[in-house]
Amino acid sequence: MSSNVSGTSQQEFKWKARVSWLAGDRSTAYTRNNSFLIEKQASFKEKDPSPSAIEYLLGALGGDIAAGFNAVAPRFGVSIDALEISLSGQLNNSLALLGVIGESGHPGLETIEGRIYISAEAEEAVIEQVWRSVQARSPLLNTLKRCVDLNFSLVITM
Amino acid sequence: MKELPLFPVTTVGSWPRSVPLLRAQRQKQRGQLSQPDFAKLADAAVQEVLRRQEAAGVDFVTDGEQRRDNFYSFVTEKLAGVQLMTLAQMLEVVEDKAGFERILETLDVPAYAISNPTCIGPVKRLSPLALDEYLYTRSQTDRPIKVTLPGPYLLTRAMWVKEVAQKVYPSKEDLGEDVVKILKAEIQELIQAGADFIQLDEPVLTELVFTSGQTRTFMCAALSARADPTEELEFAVSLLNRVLEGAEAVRTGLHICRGNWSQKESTLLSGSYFPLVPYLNRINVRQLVLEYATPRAGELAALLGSENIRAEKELGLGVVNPRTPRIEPAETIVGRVKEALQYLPSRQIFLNPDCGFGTFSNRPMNSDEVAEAKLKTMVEAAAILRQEAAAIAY
Repeated sequence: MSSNVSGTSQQEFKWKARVSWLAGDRSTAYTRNNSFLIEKQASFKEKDPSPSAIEYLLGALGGDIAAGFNAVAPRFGVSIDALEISLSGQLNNSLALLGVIGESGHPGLETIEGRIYISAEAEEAVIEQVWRSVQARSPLLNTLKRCVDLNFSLVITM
Repeated sequence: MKELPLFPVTTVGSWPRSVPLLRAQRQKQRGQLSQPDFAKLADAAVQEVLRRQEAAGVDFVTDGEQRRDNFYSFVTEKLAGVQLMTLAQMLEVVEDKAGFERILETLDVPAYAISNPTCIGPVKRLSPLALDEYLYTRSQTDRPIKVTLPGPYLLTRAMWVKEVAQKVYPSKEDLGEDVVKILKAEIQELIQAGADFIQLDEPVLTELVFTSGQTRTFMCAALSARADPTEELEFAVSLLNRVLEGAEAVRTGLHICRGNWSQKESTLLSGSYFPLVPYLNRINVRQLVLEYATPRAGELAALLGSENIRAEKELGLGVVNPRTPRIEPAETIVGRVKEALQYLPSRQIFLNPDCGFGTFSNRPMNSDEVAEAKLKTMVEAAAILRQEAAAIAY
């Protein structure tokens, strides 16, 4: 088996991130040779300048699905014209996140809803097969579905 | 043009595109299909749409906007200084990305599916916007033809993506000057060519009065909203009247609706035309082509309470909902027209759907079959009304 990092097989590979707290709610995450800014656990304000941790999670899930389509579609002979994933997540209890005393529930994500819009020159049934295959091999979908109620729908557009 | 019957039946313009035509349109946009090859397919599609309208008994036919990707962005390939940008591309340049997200969510559409003609340079006409479409349609039917054009306010608002356009035009008003010149020239050429009915589409006008403090819905209106709708409406009236100067020789129409992007009625705008009446009164257009088939449009009295409108305008009365599969019974349509007859003489009433059946080519609101059945029920209603009118006259 080829190795991703010297001396490590794909089977043993571990993904890494180092997160440095900057100040206030802001941190920088370093991953391989990349870095990105994270602001707050969850932001309720549109004008906050950087994405929050929850938004990174949603974005990561969407990116995972998009890359999955890109990897799987050619195997079914499908050429993708356009692909877009719209995601929204809801906490079990936002007030628990804010630390309101006496609130029941927890601040974890309760549901994630997603709309996958895809335009491809292929029969609907084949695109649905691709989507099933994407779900089967997606790392984040398979992680999250064990703890969050995931509700995705596929919208095929021309 | 031969004399029209009472209660002429027409459409608002667009008709669903076939899957092969949609594929061809996409291929043309990607440069994989030549314009002449696309035109062959589109010609055949127009013939089919005309055949369906004629079979249904429609009095004023349209070409179903078969060559257009939607009712306004098709101008891009006919104008210099305009680039088609998908909303996905625009997300990169607009400041209010969160606002865009709200709109996309409301519309339930992907950003890649909606294209906006965006001003990137001095806007000039390279070729006619609709004249060629009209001439082809004329060669295929002997019925009176309605030609649809995006209105000057819609085009100005759509093209004015401040972050891009301000490099060329200091203000939206400056861009509007060139839009007026283009549309005015187009209308004059259509009149010269013998067009029977020219309809300007201005759906954004409803958004100005119905979305105060709410999520905006029409794409182009998201880009340069002014705080004061009154100022915007005055701007729209001024643009429209300048475009309509010298167009008295032809029947002109102004189509205003509350959105036609979803079959979910709850996502579409609501409210009567009442707040627009002071402005509609001053727009020098012969016919108001309005939606009245859903309760969202409010009561006829809100519009026809205006003496000026009753005296000077025809009403293109929306009597079927283009978004529902259910075919409205002719009796229901007759009942609706009779309500309008309490305010207007019969010669001032046309029958039409609330909007097009395929405003956005990749998001048709109904099938060909349902659309044709809706035309037939309007024709049936018109026949009943004509019989009753004849009996009264006799």
